[in-house]
Amino acid sequence: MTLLEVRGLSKYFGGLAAVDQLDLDVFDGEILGLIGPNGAGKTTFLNLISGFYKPTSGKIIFEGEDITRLKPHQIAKRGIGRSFQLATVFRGLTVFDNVFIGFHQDYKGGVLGQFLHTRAARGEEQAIREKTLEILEVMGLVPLKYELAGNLPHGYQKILGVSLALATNPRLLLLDEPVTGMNPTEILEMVHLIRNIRDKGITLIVVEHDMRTIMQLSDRIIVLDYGKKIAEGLPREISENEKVIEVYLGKEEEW
Amino acid sequence: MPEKILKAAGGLVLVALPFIVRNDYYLHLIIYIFMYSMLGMSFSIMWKNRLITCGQAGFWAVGAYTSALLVMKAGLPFWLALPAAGIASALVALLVLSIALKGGPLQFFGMTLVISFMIMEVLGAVQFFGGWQGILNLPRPTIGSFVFLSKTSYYYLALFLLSANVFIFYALYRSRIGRAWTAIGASTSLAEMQGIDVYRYRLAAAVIGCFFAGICGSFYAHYQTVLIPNTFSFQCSIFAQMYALIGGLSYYIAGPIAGAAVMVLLPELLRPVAEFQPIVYALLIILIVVFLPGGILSIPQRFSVVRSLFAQIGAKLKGLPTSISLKNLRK
Repeated sequence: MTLLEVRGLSKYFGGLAAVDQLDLDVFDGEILGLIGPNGAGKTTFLNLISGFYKPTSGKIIFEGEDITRLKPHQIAKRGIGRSFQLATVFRGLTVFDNVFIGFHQDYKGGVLGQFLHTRAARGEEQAIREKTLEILEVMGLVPLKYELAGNLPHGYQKILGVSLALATNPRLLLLDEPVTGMNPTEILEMVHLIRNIRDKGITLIVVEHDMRTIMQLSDRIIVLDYGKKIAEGLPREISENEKVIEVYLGKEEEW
Repeated sequence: MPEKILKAAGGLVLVALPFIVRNDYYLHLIIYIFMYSMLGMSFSIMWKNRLITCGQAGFWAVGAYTSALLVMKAGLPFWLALPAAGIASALVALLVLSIALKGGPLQFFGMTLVISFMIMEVLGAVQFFGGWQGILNLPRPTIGSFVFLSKTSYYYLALFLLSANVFIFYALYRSRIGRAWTAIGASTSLAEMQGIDVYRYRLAAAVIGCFFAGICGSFYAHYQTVLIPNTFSFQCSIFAQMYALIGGLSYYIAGPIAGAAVMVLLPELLRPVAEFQPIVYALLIILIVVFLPGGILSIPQRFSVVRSLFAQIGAKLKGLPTSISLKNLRK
């Protein structure tokens, strides 16, 4: 089943096409790897999907609904979560509070009850505390829950960033370079976590530079260059695709 | 349990204060501390969203003048004019800041600055508002035949308003609204990705803050019984920021109260050198920003850091003789 459909998506910055007439489908339950050289438009693509950029033209359809013109918080509400490239977490808050705050849209009770701190509101808060702990448990962050997020090592900040995205209860998760800057042990850990997330029924789009990781991780890979899709297929097909090798290594004449 | 006893004792002291102080002038200063605390808190609630308002004096003025005109021209009792003043101030905020916020925090900063200047100019230039001479002889609040004349009666009114303000802000900060504000303050893009409507939450904070600035203005009007446009100058807006800064920017309720206390009491101590007051203020701000960026409320925390630092150095020093012991030297 198709979860996300992108049709003719373009984004121009001035005269420059960062994403150019892109068509792609994301299927339910897969890990889609998105690769390409620097400036290929990968992050721009994620920014378009999550609503931070408005596309110049084209359509984004998520679960049959056109979300092209929605704002980021509206898109988050519809079930698209996202982690950022530069380990973005709420730096001044503890690990626990980071995820706890992340559950913003889980509150069902009224504002007045919250304001008056009624029994129902406290019960709801307690339930969200428990959910927070669940996520921390899955992500292996429980021992660090009272640490300030800004004091965590880079790898843990990235994991926390993913945990935050999970708190929005997404059906599609966009990860922007989840393993960049990590050491091999941390990378293994992250790959394991991402697979766990997929096994829970969450579809993922992973943008990554680390070729080995992306080949290992993805069910399917799409290669972008200058905002255009130049290849699509299984990891093995991609690693043997001449166009892709050319893009990454340069044409032979140039050597 | 001890915390509860402490709180109860604190409350009792506040209630009994007029009977302890027994000095009208000191009570007057305390009333001003309460008033400025409210003004500082109305800055803080926006700062929690990382919005810097330069116009709290303007919204204070809207409240003061609304209340004064409603009582004097429409004959409304103070008790109706008080909430009306808050609502008027909140409406002005909603109207102006909803547009300013579309542009972002910088436009918000600029717009609050401009609007506060404009409000003061309009109040001075338009005769209906009393002109530059202001409004004199405002009626005092009454309950039945009781007239608020004494400092003690005003003290209790101010205490009531401040406590209401503190309680409401506390309840807000504790709720999911407060948590959304915290998220916005920490990172807007991340907050947005958690499904928080940053624009709306910021606007709500601004409107609520301005509501209480208006309430505070109404109290000021009927306490001073004189309104002059120049009171609500740019300097006053800056002072609202200074209360929050000096008290501690990360203490959204206690910070402005502590800051207001310092800023009201300091001039009393500086009486002998009154002409150097601006210089002293400037020095105070610089010293606090450089040496105490967390504000005066962060002093205890700060000292514990210093203490642990000393403890570490001490431990290192104790460890020194062993690390360069003779045994090591022989090697």
